[in-house]
Amino acid sequence: MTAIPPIANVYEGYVHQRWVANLVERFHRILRVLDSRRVTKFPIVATFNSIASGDAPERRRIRIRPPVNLRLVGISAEVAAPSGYTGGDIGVYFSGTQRLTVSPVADGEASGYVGLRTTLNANTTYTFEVDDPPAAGTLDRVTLTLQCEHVASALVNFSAPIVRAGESFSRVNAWWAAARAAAQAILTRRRYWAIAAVHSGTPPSASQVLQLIHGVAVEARLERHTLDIDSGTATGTLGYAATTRTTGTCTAGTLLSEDPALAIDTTAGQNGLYLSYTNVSGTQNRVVHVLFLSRDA
Amino acid sequence: MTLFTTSRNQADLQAEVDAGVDDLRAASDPGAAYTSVCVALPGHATGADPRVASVIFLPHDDLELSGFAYSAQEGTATAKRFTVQLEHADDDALGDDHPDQLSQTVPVTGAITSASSASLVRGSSIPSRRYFLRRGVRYRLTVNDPSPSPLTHLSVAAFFTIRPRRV
Repeated sequence: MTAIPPIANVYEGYVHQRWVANLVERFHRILRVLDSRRVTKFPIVATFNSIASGDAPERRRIRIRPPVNLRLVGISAEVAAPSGYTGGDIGVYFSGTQRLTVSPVADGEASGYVGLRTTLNANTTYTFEVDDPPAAGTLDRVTLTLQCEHVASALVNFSAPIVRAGESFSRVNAWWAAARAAAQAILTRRRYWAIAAVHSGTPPSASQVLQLIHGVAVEARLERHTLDIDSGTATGTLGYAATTRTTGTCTAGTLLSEDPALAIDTTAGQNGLYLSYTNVSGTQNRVVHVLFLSRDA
Repeated sequence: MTLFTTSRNQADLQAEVDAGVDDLRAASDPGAAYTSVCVALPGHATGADPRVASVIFLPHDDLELSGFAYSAQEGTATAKRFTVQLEHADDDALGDDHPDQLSQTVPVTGAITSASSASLVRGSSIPSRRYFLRRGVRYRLTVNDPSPSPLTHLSVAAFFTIRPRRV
């Protein structure tokens, strides 16, 4: 983190209006621009292969539980249907409310997008679900993309002391102290984002292992990860480079949410952060793993 | 009333504010400060319709490709290779006017060399040149069929950094 230099001297004398006005305006402009850019935009992409008519909701949904407030700005859905598909339209639901309809094209791909501006509250579970085909048939693939933002603005409560011409330099010092504190607040506000991986298809049988891989290109901290399965029970090993840790046991229907605070250092080796998933009982057709990461710059 | 400070004090404060502005600008570099985003493909990989073994995504920011990571599980005791493509989802989305943008596939080869079946292998790949993705353009990440024989599970992630936009 970059530190803003402190005021080293006690200034004496008086200030010239134009000079100090320029100084204050310049610094405030930079502050506001930086603050407005403390928005991290990221997609959470979940792909479900093979959704058949009659499939249970657990096989066609992603649930997320953010550790901080996020903003959901849009949902896009992309549907690939096989030749001869006549199954009808597919609805996309956010917390039980239909937000989008996609009309699949036989032997083709169809997509739709809906813009939203909704806050996803911290430590709240949200469900995004797609319909199963209403008539007999199977969709080859459905990709849901949740366009999200994390806002790390820090200037909400910032008000700098007013500096007028002819005033003591101590007023300038007071302004500079407040401005430095505001700048520091911007620089220390952590940024959050999320990535997801979905296994779908051939269900692992008992004791089988599969891996879901994620990419992390910057140094970060894994704040939270959630695991969601459609049947039975399972455990996992979360790994990065030489670091591994065992997850709790995940039971179908219950979102497993853990906050491991795992430091990810991209200089340590592989860029892949993975979940080695082990089936304990039942056969899982869907495994959804969502990571929430943060960094301090 | 004296409207001017001594030049020494004024210069000192000016220098401090200048340094603060420089620090803020440096910290605002999204290439250093922003995060990555990731697209993950689901597991199975073999003999699949390219429409199925792929994912389409729409960046809301300009991105630069950082690399790929993959995890695979082979079904037989045979070394295998597979490739990953990242390309425009829409033909001629950018045309020829943007040579610095991603306008071709990015070939990435993963090698599965384990001699035992059902083993899990991880790896990563960094592109040999820089690739840029533009916001508002749809991209497709595809896993091509492994060779010579099927993989029982494959998971691929492409990761990106957001392109710097300095103040």
